Amino acid sequence: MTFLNGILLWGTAAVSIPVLIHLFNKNRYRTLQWGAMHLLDTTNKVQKRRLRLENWFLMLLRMMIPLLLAACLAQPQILGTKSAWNWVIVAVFAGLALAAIIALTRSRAPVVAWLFCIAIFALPGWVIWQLATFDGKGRFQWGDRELSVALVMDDSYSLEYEDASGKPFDKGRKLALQLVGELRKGSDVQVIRMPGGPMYSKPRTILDNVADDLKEMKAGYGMADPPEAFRSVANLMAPGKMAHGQREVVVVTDFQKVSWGSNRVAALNETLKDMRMGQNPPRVTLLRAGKGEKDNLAVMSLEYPRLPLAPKQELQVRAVLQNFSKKDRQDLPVTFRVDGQPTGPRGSVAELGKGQKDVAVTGQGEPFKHSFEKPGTHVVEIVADQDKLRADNSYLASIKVWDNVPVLVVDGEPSKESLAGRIDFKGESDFLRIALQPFREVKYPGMTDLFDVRVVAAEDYDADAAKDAHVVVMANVPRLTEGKGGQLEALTDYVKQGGGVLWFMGDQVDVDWYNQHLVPMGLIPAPLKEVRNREGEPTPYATVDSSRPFEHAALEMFTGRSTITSEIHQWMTLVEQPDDPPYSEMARLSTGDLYLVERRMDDGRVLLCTTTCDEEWLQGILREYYVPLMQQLVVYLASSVAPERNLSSGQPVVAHFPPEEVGQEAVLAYYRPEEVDALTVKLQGRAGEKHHLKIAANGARGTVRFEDTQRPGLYVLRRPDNTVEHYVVNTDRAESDLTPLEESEIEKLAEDLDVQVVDSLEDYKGAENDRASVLDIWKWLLWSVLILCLGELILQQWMTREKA
Amino acid sequence: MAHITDYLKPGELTSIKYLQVLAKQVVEGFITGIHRSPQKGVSIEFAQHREYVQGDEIRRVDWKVYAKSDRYYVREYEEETNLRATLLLDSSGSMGYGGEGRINKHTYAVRLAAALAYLLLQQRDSVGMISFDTKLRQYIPPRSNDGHLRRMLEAMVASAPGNETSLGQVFHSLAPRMGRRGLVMILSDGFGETPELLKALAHFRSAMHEVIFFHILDPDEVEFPFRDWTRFQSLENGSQFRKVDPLSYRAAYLENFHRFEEELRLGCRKNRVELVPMRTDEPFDKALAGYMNRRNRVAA
Repeated sequence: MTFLNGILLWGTAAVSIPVLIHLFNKNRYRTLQWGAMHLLDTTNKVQKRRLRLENWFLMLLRMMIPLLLAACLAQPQILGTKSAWNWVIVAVFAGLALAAIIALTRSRAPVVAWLFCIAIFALPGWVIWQLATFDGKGRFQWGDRELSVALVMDDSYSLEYEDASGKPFDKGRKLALQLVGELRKGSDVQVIRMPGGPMYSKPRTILDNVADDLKEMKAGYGMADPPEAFRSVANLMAPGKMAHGQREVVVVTDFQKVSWGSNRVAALNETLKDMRMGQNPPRVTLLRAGKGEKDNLAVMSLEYPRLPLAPKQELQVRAVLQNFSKKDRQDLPVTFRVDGQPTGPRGSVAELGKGQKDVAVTGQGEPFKHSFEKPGTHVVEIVADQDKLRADNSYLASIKVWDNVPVLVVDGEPSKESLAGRIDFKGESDFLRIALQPFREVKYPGMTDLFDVRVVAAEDYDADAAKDAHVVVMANVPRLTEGKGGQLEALTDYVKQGGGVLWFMGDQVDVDWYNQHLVPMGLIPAPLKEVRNREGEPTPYATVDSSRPFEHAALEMFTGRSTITSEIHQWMTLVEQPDDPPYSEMARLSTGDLYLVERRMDDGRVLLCTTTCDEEWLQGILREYYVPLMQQLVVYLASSVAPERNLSSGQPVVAHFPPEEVGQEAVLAYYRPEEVDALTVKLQGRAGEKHHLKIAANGARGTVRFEDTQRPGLYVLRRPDNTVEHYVVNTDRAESDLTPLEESEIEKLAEDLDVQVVDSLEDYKGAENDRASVLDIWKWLLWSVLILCLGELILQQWMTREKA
Repeated sequence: MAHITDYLKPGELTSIKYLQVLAKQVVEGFITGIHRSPQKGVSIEFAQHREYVQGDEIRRVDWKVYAKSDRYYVREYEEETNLRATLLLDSSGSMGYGGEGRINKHTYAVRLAAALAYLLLQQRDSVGMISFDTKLRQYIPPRSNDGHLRRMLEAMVASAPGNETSLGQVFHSLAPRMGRRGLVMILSDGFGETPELLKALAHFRSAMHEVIFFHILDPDEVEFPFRDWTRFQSLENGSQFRKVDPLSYRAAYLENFHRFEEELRLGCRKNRVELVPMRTDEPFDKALAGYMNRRNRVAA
């Protein structure tokens, strides 16, 4: 015997409740001065015995009710295993029954008492007898008893391959619908999407609804992950999750090699082994949907610079194509589309051997190019071959075109010229300004800068000055004014609301003030220690340690390509916290001291550079690293408030809104990759799958979050102000390799996993007859409890009756 | 000083006042009243003719009948006389029981006794009272004079329930003291040895007394309505107690009770004792009135 919900067996402890109540009441008596004492004496022996019997019987009934109820809730299942314990239970019960018979005889109980006794003990007796004698065998027919079924549906986009016989997914769905249709009423079903996870929060028993949901179900999801799906199944088979003892796991899949290959078998086996450790493991059947070879060509990825773009800046895109067919392909046409419309010259791939990858370029051998006129998000797409699997014929990307990014530089040591907008290299921020808006400063024709820099003196900084700025740079600022409406409060609010601050050190910085006021607020990543230098040493300066790759997103471009090469003569050291630091280090100096540190604070971020942003503490600032480094740091801070738009499947769509839009509604529409056109990118034309999302307050701004992004494609968000933003979800293109497992491989898989593989419903049903059967007895126990409750009620009424 | 109104509410008084208490049997008496005497003698109300036997007074021979039939018949007249009643008030400990919100059985019995005494004295009948537990506590012989009621009421007030009961024994000892045949009214719960009690009732009957047993019980004793665990402590013997779960004990109790009741009923019927079950939650004047009416019908 096993229990689906064994933990509830602790409820059998409730058997002591009637005894405790009895003892409690017995000790909570009242005293009554009474006259008719002689009527209280039971002089008659039979009467005395019957009275005692009735009391014992009532107590027994009361103890059996919680006992059987707990056993019922624990959902016991008789597996047909022979165990001596079963006979012990039978013996105990038989002993009880015998004791009841003897007691009834001795007390000369009336016939009605015998009948009552039989009625009460018959059902538990039958259940216990079953426990001892059930052999676990029995002809099993799908639909002849209630089952708990986990239906794993492969809904990866490879099942969307459409040939003359239709889509494999539709075939699989048909089989699944038939299985569900023939289930006995009362069965419960959970549908597990692979990928996508369980369809319902808990198994469903209304089979018509499950069938309707299956009919509505769509494929086109990312890569199938059988081990993950089986983990969901194992979780579902845990005690208390499904209702019935007889459990079936049916996996409808196309046996794609990438999903079911030998690399996955080990993980699968582990999960199955864990699942089979339980006393009542389910039977697992793999049902094949769709057979045969399939040709496919897929756009595997897009390559484009991840730096933010300004209007009229040129975007260069390359696409990588792969041929998954068994034959070579020539002259493959490639189209570049921007916002759903073909743009620029068509490209092609001259020759692509089987299994080969190549980069698609235009006829001139160049990448696809486009410059955007307007800021905002745009969808770029490379479309290749129109083959039978449409989902991977194109690859999408969402490109954010920035308008000017306003940057406020707070200069702690400004010159008059720099405050007037001119550069004399005497101000602290002059180099920084050139680095952030090089075209404007050198008056380069036809080029626009991404950043719009405004410099203010430290004393002029306030909330108003930073109102529009995406990033505030604090360059050698001595201190901020405190108190209500002061600079410190303005900066704190600014960061809390999602702003970014970049600190540069310098000789003006008041270390004590910084530590006292900025550290507690989290406005600088770590406390400042002291200014250090290497005077008198053989190398009187430090450099940035580039021996290890830079892992931080803002510094990625410096790994292996160029290094940060200044000679740093002075720098600020920080008080480091080796264990669980609140900051993350980005780069260190050759001396081991920190160079760049980051810390998150609420929605905002702060970065700290331990040296100056001019040549005061370092030499060689005009080397090639400076401009990209400064731009990267500021871009990083500016973009950190803008959520990621190119997502992998399952990663949520997150969008931020101004606080006044909290409570309003944003609309998110999903389009499959092949549905993307000039209208759908504007949320016009084809309707798409629309989701209405309420903007929730999140700190000082509004946020929406949409989790159900398993399906690759375009997600268009319409904001309350009717502007649209584009999010793209791409999935691992390994799924595009449609090569199925060989027959021999499938056999080996079945053997390794100890599961059966069938091709049709008939095969599946043919294999049903020999399986072990399980006896679910919770219903019988529930009936027993009800009968016992009724018995208890009758007995109590009978005992307190007025005897004529 | 006790007054009748201490025991009888005005309403009860008026309802009882006009009832005619008629004894079932005619008893001997000294004062001519509305009760008929079985002693035939000189009177105004003719009863019957009887054949002359030696010893009859010559003046009672009905000469007119002799003239018609040539036989000697004497005239017999019914004589009206008093009822001589004795109230036996059980003052044992068990009479001290009173359920929640009710008077105890003893108080009830006292009120009933007061009502009876008042009624009887109103009719110029003589009434006496005996209160007892294991032994006789107080004896007030039957009288019908003024002030007797007050004396009896004072005695009733003075009596309080206590001690054990032994009805049989007490009744045996009382029977010889009751004098001439009369009406004995027992006000008791009848708890104790039932066979002994029945024997004692038979003793009264053998002395030609008419016996009415007002069997006074508290509803709790009839229904046993308790639910919580209870320690029943004896009212008669403080050291005696039983701790029981009344719910499971109820059936057994009621079985015992019905057996006791049945035994008493059959015993009374056998001895021609009028058994009147009374419950302390019943207004006793009504119960009494109902009973008296019944007796009237029997007497008529």
